[in-house]
Amino acid sequence: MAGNELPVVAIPEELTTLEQVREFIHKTISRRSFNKSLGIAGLGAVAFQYGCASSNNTATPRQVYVANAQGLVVADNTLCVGCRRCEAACVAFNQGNYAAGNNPATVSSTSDTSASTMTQPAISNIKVNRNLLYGVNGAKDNTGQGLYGDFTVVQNTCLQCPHPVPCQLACPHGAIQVVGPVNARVVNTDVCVGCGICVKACPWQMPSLDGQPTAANTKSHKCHLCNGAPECVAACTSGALTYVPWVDQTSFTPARQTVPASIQLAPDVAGTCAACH
Amino acid sequence: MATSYGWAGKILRVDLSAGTCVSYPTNAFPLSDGTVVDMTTYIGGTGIGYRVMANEVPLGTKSWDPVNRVIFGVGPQTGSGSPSSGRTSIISLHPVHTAEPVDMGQMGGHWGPELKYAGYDAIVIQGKSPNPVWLRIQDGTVTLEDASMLWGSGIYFSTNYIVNNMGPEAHVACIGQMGENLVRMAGIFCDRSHRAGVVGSILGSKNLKAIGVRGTGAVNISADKKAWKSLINYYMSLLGCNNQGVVAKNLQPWSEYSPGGTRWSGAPGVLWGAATPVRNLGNCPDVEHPMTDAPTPINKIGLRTQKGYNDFSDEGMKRTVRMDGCHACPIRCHIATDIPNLLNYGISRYNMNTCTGNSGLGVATISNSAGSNPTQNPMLLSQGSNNLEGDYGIWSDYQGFTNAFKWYYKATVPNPLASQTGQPATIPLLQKYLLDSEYKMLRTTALWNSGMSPFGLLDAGDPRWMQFLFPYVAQNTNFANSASGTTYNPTPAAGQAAAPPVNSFGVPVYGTLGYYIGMGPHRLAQGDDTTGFPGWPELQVAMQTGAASTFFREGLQKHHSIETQGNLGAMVNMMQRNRDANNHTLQNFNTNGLPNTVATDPTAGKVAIAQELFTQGQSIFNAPDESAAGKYAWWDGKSAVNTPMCMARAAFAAASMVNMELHNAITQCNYTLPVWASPLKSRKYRGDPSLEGQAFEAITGKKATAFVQAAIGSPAYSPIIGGAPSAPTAQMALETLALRNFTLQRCLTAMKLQLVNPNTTYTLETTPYQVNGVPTYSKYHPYAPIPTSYGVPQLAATGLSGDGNNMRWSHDYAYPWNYNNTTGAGNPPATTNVSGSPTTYLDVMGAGDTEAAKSMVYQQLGWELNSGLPTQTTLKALGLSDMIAKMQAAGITVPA
Repeated sequence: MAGNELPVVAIPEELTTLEQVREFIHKTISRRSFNKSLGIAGLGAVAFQYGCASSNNTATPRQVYVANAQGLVVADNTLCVGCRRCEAACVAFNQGNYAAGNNPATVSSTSDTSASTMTQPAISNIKVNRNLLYGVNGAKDNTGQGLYGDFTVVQNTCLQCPHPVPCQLACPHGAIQVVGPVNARVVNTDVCVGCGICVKACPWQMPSLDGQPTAANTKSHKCHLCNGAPECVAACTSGALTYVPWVDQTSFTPARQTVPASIQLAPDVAGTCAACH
Repeated sequence: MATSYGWAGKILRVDLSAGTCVSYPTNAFPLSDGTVVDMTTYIGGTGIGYRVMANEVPLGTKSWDPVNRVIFGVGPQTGSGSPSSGRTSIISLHPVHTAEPVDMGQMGGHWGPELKYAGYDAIVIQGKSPNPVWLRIQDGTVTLEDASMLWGSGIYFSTNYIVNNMGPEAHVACIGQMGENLVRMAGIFCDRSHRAGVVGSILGSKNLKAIGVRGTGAVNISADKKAWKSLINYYMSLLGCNNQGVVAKNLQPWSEYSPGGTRWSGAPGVLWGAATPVRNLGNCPDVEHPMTDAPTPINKIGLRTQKGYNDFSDEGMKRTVRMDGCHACPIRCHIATDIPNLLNYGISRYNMNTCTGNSGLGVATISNSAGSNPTQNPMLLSQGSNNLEGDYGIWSDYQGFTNAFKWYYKATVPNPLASQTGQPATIPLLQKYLLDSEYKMLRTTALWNSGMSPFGLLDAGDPRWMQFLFPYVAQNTNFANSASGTTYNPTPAAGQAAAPPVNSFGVPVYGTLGYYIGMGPHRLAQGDDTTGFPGWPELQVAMQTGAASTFFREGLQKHHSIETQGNLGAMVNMMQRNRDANNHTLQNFNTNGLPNTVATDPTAGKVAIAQELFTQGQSIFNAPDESAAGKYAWWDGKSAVNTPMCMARAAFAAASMVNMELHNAITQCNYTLPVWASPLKSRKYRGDPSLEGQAFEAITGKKATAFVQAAIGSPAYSPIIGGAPSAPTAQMALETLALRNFTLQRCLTAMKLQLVNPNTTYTLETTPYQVNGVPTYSKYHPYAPIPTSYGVPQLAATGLSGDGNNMRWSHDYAYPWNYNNTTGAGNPPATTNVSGSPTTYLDVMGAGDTEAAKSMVYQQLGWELNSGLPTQTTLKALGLSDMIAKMQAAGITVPA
């Protein structure tokens, strides 16, 4: 599987302090940057893995992705007309549902037509509905954003976070992986158990579950950039969505969740969470 | 349960009296008369509603009786992501109409799709809650919640409260104080600017404040992803702008045509002027780009319609923040505006609506009153009125009752006391009909710190008039209501007269001006049986002549009626409810911007496209192509309306009515669709009239002809050819089901009219009707012999009594203003001459032409000519045999 998944570099277990791990990662990245000039690999296109099978730790070993995404869907809320065709396109045209076992981590987004077709805004990877009526600050009164305010409709898109990637690091199962060629942070549905920890971990609450947490067949959905040709961008009726080279927007995008789950869940904590979620 | 494609698969029944909420399968829905019906065979929306009303609501039920139902219906297309599939049909009895027949209101927004995502195709609501409640639908969890803290509140507060309760993704359909207080013109509102007319008081009567919906489920689509995406992109490539204008108002690089009439107003230099930053909408330069996978010009569709500029010119352009509209609709027809001056009146600066939603009660009463006040900015008044309507919850009525108000505000009538010394010969109409104290208050009592009375503010064009008006209407004070302090018994015992208060002119007064305005002009002219109010005869005459706007027989003024292709629009408006038919299938084709004919290319233009539609077997409505013989001309290119009625035009009128019924059932927007024309030069501007059928099959996975075969025993039914078309298509199959819904509604209307007027008789008059000369405002339609050249059978009297037995004469009736050669308002009847002025649209509409037109359309629809009723043959062929017995029980003789 995962022909386009990034190469994984194991972090030696003898490195126990954060400083030691950081030093190792930086050395590895700079070596691969050098290799990139030789045409071997992209800048930082590497995943790190901490812990190994010999450990008596029952949780899946942690991977650390430092590779940035190659692209990003950016939204211009002064152009959005609130039609939500992007949400419909996201779920209906790409792998927004996994009913036929479609796995965005392993299957090219646009080639597969076997998955069932549906329109389900609740699992859309771009989120407009939740800001439509009252805006990002919710229904406090009628003086905010949205249809009952000043008409600003904020389209929430996945920021494809740089390292540390909150949803990826929080996932107790290592189900969120970085997949080339665009290095989107993608849910590997073969691994995902639908616990919902990623939903809580994302400061912007971008992942969503397609069923009850941990129920059979429940999976997490998050933006995988449609392998570089996002369906939401193509469907936008007013040119409000654009696919651009990745830039870091995390620092100036206000968080939606004020108390996200820790992105550094210890394995035993993750196990505890998974028992309930 | 097997996956349900298209339909959500469940219908929710809410009994407010019992406090129960139970869901049943859509394809096996138990009705209260014991029958179990597969509601998918009625498609959805209005179809479900009509069937529930037919089987569950006893004839004679009044709008506000607990036994009345209100049905919120959506269809297989709703929420699918198919273009313009965001609408909801709300079916109940019609409280504005004096007979209170079955009818529906419509709203867009995001509420209907959310209902589908929650898992429901419809909600059937019955009974009456003992105390105010709101209905909370969170996926499969449905509860009735206490609304006592919301009762008396406006829609903005109530919506805010419910969204806070349910989460930011919820959508709320809500009534305001108007609906609570049983103002007949009240509506049901959702998503800030989407409004379903005339059904608000039904919820009020049931103590149901609102319905909040949150759904996390899916609408399943049968087609595979690739096929679905391909269909959607094909669909998008054929769309035009608002009202399906397929070419732009200003010439764009790709188009040969640029008429002023289309609403494709986006162009270089046309702005969203209040946006930050200001947006220049630009050309749509690449409309022919392959649409299969390419984003362009999908990414421009939302910029095509600039309704602010279209409706308010440069001022509108300057005030536009952006455009908005319904779920999944690329045609954005609502203007979002920013008018900072509204803050001076304590009204939100941000408002939104479309068309006449932007010219409702307040603005229409003001803008024609005075013109010198510097504050009288049409946008200020429009958006202020819009804001208050949206909070109090009254429907704009496409200006109908405001136009009537403008007339009766200024009208003078003979003084009943004229013979007395010192009395003037005439007095203002309102002075005659209002209490002395109220009239004095309206004229003289200074409001707030304005120093002006309510009417003074109105005359000055001051927005504060609206702030007085809306709560005043919402109070709905009538004197039969004991709460008002002045009481009388509106339904007195035998021999005892109702005794409302009497003013100094000796005229009984039944309520305040607010009460009179809120009931709508149809009631105001014809009376309100709940208070004993008999109506104002002066208004009745003014509505018939067109002096007080142009109203139809069954209430509400004309709207895309006779002004739309003359006899074509007249037929649609007359037969499809004879009130505001609001039929955009016809209107959209009429105003799509293409020329009627192109001299250099006989295959171009509207005439050629329309001819193809109805002479080449694309529809169950059909006409022989005799254009070569010159007998059946479509739009003749000289005057769009100067074409005598012919079978091809009858087919077009019938197809327009049925296409609208299809849209209201499936549900799709009838303002943006169908796509009978397109912007694509490569297709010679042709659209695709089979798109509803294609989408239906892709979504539901059902072969439409087989589906209809299972429902009615035939894959399609065409009354005009007396059976199934030889090569029925999916579109023809769906048209058949839509005709079925329309026919069902016709039966229900006839039954109610028969109940209300069981003893009327109609005879064929032999004298041609004259409107030039002494006006004879006969209640019944004057008859003129049909010219034999039309080739339709001559008529005979039915010999039966009652309005229901004589739908041709009682319901499908045109007021005299139809035969004026002006737009109506304020002008006396002029002529019936067919060869009148070429500049007006009514000159071909003599009574004879009207009767010929009716006969031809009846033949298309399978209705009998003399009675205007669906025949038994038609009812049986459409799987409506049960209606024969129901109609007979109601005293109607159903023609064979």
